Amino acid sequence: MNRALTILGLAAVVVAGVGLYQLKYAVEGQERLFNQARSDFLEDQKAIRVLKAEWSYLNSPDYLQQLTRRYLRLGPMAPSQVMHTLDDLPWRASDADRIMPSSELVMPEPRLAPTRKRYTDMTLSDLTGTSGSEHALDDSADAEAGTGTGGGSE
Amino acid sequence: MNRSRINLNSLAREKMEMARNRLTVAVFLFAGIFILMAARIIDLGFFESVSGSIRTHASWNGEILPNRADIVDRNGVVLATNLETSSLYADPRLIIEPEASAVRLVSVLPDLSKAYVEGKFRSGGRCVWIKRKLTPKEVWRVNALGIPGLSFQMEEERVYPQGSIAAHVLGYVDVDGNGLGGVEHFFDARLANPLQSEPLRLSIDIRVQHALEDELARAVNSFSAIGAAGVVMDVRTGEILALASLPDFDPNQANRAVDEQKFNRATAGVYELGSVFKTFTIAMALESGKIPLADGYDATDPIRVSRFLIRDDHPQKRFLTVPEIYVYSSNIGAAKMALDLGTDVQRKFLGKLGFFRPANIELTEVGFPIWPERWRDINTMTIAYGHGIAISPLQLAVGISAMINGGYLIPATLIAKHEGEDESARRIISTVTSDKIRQLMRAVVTIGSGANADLPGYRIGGKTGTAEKAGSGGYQKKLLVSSFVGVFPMNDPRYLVLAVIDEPKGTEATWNFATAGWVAAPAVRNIIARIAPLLGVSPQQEDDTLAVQVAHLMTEFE
Repeated sequence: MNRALTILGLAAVVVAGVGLYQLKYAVEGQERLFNQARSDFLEDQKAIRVLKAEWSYLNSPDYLQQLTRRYLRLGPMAPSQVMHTLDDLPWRASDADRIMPSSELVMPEPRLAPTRKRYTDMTLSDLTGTSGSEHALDDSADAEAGTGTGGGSE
Repeated sequence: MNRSRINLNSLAREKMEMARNRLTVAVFLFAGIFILMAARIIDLGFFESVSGSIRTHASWNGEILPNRADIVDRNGVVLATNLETSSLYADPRLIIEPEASAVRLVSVLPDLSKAYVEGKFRSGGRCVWIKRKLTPKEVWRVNALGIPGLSFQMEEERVYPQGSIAAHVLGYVDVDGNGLGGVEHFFDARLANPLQSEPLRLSIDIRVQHALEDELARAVNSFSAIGAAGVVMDVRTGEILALASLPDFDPNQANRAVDEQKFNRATAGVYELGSVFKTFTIAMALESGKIPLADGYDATDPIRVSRFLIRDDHPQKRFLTVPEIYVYSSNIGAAKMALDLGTDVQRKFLGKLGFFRPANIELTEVGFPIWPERWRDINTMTIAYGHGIAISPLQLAVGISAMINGGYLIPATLIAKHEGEDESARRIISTVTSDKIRQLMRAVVTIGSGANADLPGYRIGGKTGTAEKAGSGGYQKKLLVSSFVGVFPMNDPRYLVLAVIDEPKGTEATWNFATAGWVAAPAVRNIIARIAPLLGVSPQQEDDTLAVQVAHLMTEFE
């Protein structure tokens, strides 16, 4: 009886000890994972802050304008280019003149030959093609010169 | 015998008893110690590491907190942020081949010279700084070289990704991260407060800000001006969408900027702003009820008051109606009108607009207005057309907003307002007067001095102001401050654009005119052309019944 109790006790001690060590190692492993995840998370957060700043930098209107000037031939949007209702949309080209809602808000007609004007050299009336008596005259002169010389003006 | 046996027995029993007692004591003692040990083992095994984890949990708040909160624009674009940067330093004693190492280092950091780096490598000491605040890419490249003896020191740095855009609004910080200018200074405590990590959201729209700065810079270049200031403001809420001052600086390198660059002309600079002030004179007149629109004044001859002569820049030399005085910008008419109204009315009105105290804005760079100490009749007359009182461009923008938004003075703010936030608006003039001012301002652009600001579709209204700068011994004819305040769309004013160009010089294209109509008005038109689509204002077909009515009213009296 006594001996059985002793053996049982010893067995219990061994089982408890092994169990305890297993548990402890498992906990330590989890903790390592947790710390790793945490430091990864911190690193990612730092990276996100840097990327946000870089995103802001790369989307800076100043920088975008430089790129636009270098690679695109785009200028500020003219009022005549903005259509705020469906009614303002022109119909097919042949009917365009009749359907246009107003004499002032007309779509700029495509130039026959593209000029090499760059955005920096353009004035607003170049884009609108309307208003400003002396500018309008300049514009039409430009357009004619453009058709004649094949677009090599300025 | 029996007795002795009993004695013996009792003696043995006594000893047995004692031995048993001792044994029991020992058993309990050991058992107690073992229980303690078991408890401690369980404690160590289960709870110690857990309590350790709890400690880390306590310091774990989900994200890293920078030392200073970010600043973002109204759309959430980062304008100022704190980043960890690395500074490169070398331990010269560990550098084996100074020359070869220097050549390799310069190949990835081209802004350093080889001689400079080699000199550093050959110098004594244990730590020499090579370059402060490298970009992450540069750090990676330097690391990739694998030169022994090079190390990095981590530092937190304030970064302004947008460069010089909105520099005067943002301000800058010193090396320790203390705000020294702009909102960085005004909100220093809030930005540095570790409990408030949320970004500070400004009312600035970075795209509008850029358009304003770009067009102002273009005007400054074309007219060789010494500087410029500009404001774009929502007239309904008082939110400042853009506030610019030229020349500007890069807040990332604020220590390299000179005072001239850091000076904020839009809020700290005070200027006599000229004819734009006629807007207030007319508003006073209409509001008083004494002088209706159909009234008028004789502007045939200049007025001479002691040694002053009040002339018109665009003399019509005839009787002018109130709208004509405004549209043709007649100094004589405005002066006579102000004299009729009286000094008290004028002073009270300008006081209500806040022109006798610095601008009320979230910046510490605000200039104190200048007005005459003794307000004589001659002062009343000159102030009627904007000479003799100097205010900051921002104050003018706030004042003009109150004239055209239905008559409410709404304090300007640089902080984004929430939808439906109650505004501390104060009525200055009646809605009827405000409507009339709107018609007059539209007429200035359709038929008056602001014709260069017209942009079909957006119904821009405005007022030109060309002021001569006061120098020693009176006003200087050649040194001008040309300003134009534009509002659009005039049938339902949403945004105000103010451009002030300091000392422009006329060019061939403007027939050597440097007046507001030639210098500032086209700039405002270009700004509006760029920002209106961004702000969701769509061009409308123009049906200018208001302006047509005003035009009729004007011809009636000719």
